[in-house]
Amino acid sequence: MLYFLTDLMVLGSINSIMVVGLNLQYGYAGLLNFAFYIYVAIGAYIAAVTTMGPSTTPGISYALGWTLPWWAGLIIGGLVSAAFGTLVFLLTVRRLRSDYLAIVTVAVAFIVWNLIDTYQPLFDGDTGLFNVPQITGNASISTEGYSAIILALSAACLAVSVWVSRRIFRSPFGRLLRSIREDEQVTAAFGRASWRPQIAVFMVGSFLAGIAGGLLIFYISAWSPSAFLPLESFILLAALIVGGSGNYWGSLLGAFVLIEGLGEISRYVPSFGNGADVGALRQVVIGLVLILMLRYRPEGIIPERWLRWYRTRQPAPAAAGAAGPAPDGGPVPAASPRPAPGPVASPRPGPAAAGPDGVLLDIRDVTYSYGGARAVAGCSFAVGRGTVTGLIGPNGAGKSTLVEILSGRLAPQSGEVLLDGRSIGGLGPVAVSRLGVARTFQTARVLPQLPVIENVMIAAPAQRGEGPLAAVLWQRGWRGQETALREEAVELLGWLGLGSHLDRPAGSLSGGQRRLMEIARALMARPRLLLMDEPTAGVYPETSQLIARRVREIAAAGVTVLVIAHNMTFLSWAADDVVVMAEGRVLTRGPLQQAREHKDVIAAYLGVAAGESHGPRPSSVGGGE
Amino acid sequence: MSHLLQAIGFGVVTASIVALAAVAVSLQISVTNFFNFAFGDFMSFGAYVAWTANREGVNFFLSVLLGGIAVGLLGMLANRLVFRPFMRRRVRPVTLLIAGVGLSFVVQDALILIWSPAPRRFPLNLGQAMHLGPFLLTPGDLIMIGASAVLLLLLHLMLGYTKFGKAIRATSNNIDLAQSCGINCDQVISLTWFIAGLLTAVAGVGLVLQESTLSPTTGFTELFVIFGAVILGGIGRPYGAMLGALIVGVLTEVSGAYLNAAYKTSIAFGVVVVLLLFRPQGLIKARGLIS
Amino acid sequence: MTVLRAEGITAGYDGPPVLDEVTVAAEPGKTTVILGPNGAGKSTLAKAIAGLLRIRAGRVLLAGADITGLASYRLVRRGLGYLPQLANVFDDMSVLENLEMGGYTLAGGLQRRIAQVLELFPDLGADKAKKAGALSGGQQRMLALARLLMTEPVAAVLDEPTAGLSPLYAGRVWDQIDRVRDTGVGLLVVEQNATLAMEHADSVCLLAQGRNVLSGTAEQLRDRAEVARILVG
Repeated sequence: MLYFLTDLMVLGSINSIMVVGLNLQYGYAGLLNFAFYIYVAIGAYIAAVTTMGPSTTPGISYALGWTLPWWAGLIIGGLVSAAFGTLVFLLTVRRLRSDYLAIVTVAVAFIVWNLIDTYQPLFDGDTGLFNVPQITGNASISTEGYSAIILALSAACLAVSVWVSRRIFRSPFGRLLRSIREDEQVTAAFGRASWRPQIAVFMVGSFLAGIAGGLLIFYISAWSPSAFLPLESFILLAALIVGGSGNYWGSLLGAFVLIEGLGEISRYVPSFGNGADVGALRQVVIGLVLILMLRYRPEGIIPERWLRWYRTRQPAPAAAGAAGPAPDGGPVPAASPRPAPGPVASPRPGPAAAGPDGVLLDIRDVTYSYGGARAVAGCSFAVGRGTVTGLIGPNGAGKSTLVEILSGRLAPQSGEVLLDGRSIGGLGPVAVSRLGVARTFQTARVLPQLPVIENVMIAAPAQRGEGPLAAVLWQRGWRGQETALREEAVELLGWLGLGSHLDRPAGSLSGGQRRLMEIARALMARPRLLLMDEPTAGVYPETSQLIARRVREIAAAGVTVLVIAHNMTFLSWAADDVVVMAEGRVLTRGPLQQAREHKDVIAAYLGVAAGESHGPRPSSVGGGE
Repeated sequence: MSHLLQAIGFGVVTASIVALAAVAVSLQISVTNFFNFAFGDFMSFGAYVAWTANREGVNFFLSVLLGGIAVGLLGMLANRLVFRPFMRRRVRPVTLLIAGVGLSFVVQDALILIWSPAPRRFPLNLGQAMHLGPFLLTPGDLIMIGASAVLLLLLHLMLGYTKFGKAIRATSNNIDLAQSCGINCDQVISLTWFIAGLLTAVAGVGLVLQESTLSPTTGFTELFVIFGAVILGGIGRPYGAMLGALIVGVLTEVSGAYLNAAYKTSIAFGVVVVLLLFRPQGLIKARGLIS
Repeated sequence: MTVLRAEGITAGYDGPPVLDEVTVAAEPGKTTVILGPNGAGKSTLAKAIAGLLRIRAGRVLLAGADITGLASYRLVRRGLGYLPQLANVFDDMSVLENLEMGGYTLAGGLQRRIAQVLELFPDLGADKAKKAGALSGGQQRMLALARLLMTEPVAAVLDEPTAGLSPLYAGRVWDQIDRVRDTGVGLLVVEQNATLAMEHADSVCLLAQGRNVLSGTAEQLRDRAEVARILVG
């Protein structure tokens, strides 16, 4: 009985290490890797061939055949798995749809499996390896005793894995992974590229897989291709999803319940029919449970949001003299607690202002065409430091395209964009945002599964602890930073009326609340230039007023704002002057009232009569900007 | 040289089976836009139903038809119960793939429960292999090629000349516009699953005849060969899938003849990997189903 | 006598409603143009009437019958046509097949109807076998209009039919719309280009911030400064 329990615990622990590793890849980073079990197999094989010495039996051949101590074999197995995992990741890190990527990993798994199964000299083909030495060496020890030793070792490895998972989860690195998982583009818009963190987490996950494989082979002493059918990866994934992806306790639950638990229960089901039934029944159950969970509780039994990390200490109640609740947000302090102009930090010091005095952004003759349609056709204007400039114009004028160019998502096809004298055209969103440009989007883009406060914290520039080593080994370096960032985010959110929504998943915010959150997020990046694309579309008038007030305070703090808007009331509150665009170029510039009454502007908004034309314009399909 | 030609001949037989399956997959993807991972198991299911009916004394061709109807109904059921609820909620494509994995577990292991995991023999001895020019084929092979050609021709005629076939093409091209034309797209999708199911079952039976054995994993192991053909021809393009099947079928047979036959499946998988990574739009220009 | 009437329509996406108790109507053989500044909700209104968006309050009447909330594929049989702003042809199918799809719900006489429609759109007849995707933008609009006519709808909603077209082609499309109107269909046309639209409109309805702000006949509104003010915002 004890032996049976020990066996259960050993396998449960080893499976848990695997699921924890998979959780790092899929739960944390959203990377689906169906080849996962191959990494386990590689770890097992390498651990074996580095410790069992050369083959002494004729007909059995395998690579290496070293005689290193068991712990070296184990670690080398982990490292080789990590290396292989990295290779697969580099191969597949292309702009593929997520399910096609997953299919590629299944294919890779089959190919490797086929190779190992067929190519004898590698790991002895389909016969596999036997008599892998025990970690206790030649010491004679009972089966139960050995199991206990392996159990201790596995449990220790599991504890370390969970500890590493937890560290990563709470660190800026973990937050960065979650952010990439939710929305890569938004993450890039706030200065962070995806592939380095993704590779890092892939390596760690694969390493854990390798370690688990090594532990397995030291326990069972044998391994062959029939033991690691690519099917096993699916079962691990099912365990992860059912247990709760993203939450390392969920990984343990999934491993023990779905894999071990179901396995053990099936022992007690009386055998019926033709023998293999119980195993098949288990698979059917796993399949059904997986589908049902995906449908009704995709976050799993123990969801990510249950990790206590998410609960923030409630901030002090809003300052007295609230301006009254806005329908979109909670009570809003009429005056912020700090002396004016609010918790907006002055913009990050950039390179010494090289532009002509007072000009932060200089757009020179920029053009951009989508296929045959010219969206921006020789647009030029300059924006003064610390001002709020509105950008208006009829549909199709090229305003949104221009903002995409300014934020780095599109490269101008001709012309220049200068930020403080420095050319930023074509640098890409990550580089441009690091130079001090932040933005809000036409349809507010939040990271839906993450709490509001995390959504904002991700934007802070230059955070320590965003790499895996720093995250795990140097907590001292980023702990203080986390507290400071959190306070800053809380203050910013309170300033925008979201003080009582800090821990809610951002996906549950209303449209207006999302827009407010986007502003907080953009300010967290301490930008020099803030680009806003229709920040008041779809919000209640009171919120629109609030946003206008805040925009003025932001500018007073030294941030330059360029805002696309259609709501003239909002612009009359918020903007110093406006630039009017039509047909891809600037029509006029000046105070809002003047622009509204300018006859060319009116004509642009009213449209042209048949046969008239304001210059060559290719016939093209497609509305929108 | 004759060795090569013979291999090509086998390739054409394989291709005719793969073509049916690949066209079925493409047809389904063209209206639903995701890969059904349980597809291979649908093939096995069709083969099992046909085998059971045949064993009970039903005429062979009628058995295959029964298998077709069974898979057609299974597809409609899977669409209704599993996939459509997910699609209505606009989940990530990965979720649909994983749901397909779950479905694959259920179907494949249900097959084991109902029919036992032991491989069955499904011999259809229609005579010895004959030499037809440089090729070496059995009458069974010829029937397979013929059946495949006929079914694909019928499908082509349906898609190109019947009202319903055009409704399928309209739905796959622009579902909102199709709705505005008065087409009940939910119904169209359902029936497309049924038609795809018919083809799937015939392909499953063809597979089994080629290998002479039927086991619960028969279809699943062919899955990637079929996916390879689908991707090669352009995802969601049934006509491309036919070409893709020809290429994949011949390629795997020829390479299997010259390399170790055990690597045959790896080559198919390798094709899938290379294609998805470097040319996911296929050899022929496909529509934008890639992100 | 209105043939299509949307009254008190409140509808939107998430959050506050985009449309707030909007009422528009179309009469047989007349064109009602819906204008408004950006964000006024014009496209949302078109989608709501065409059954593509859930209506929270209000109703849509077609020839007196209440069609509110009907699934979009049922509306064609009731006699309502819809021309979406983007992706308004089956680009993988030929011109002829596009028309056949337009006539999907016809009980019989498909070929006869196609011939009739092609008389109204002579340019399309020359390209019957061409794939719709290979046509120019202006021709695609013509095809979309022709497709809509296949079922002889009593009323139709057109969402920015001249978007993205050069002024020359926009004029031609409008001429074609006039011809469609003259066959007796009641038209609701959402448009961005107010000047051109008002040259062809019988009545005009101005929306701003999701509400009706002004309406009248085209003559009444043609030169009023108010219109310009509302459109600029």
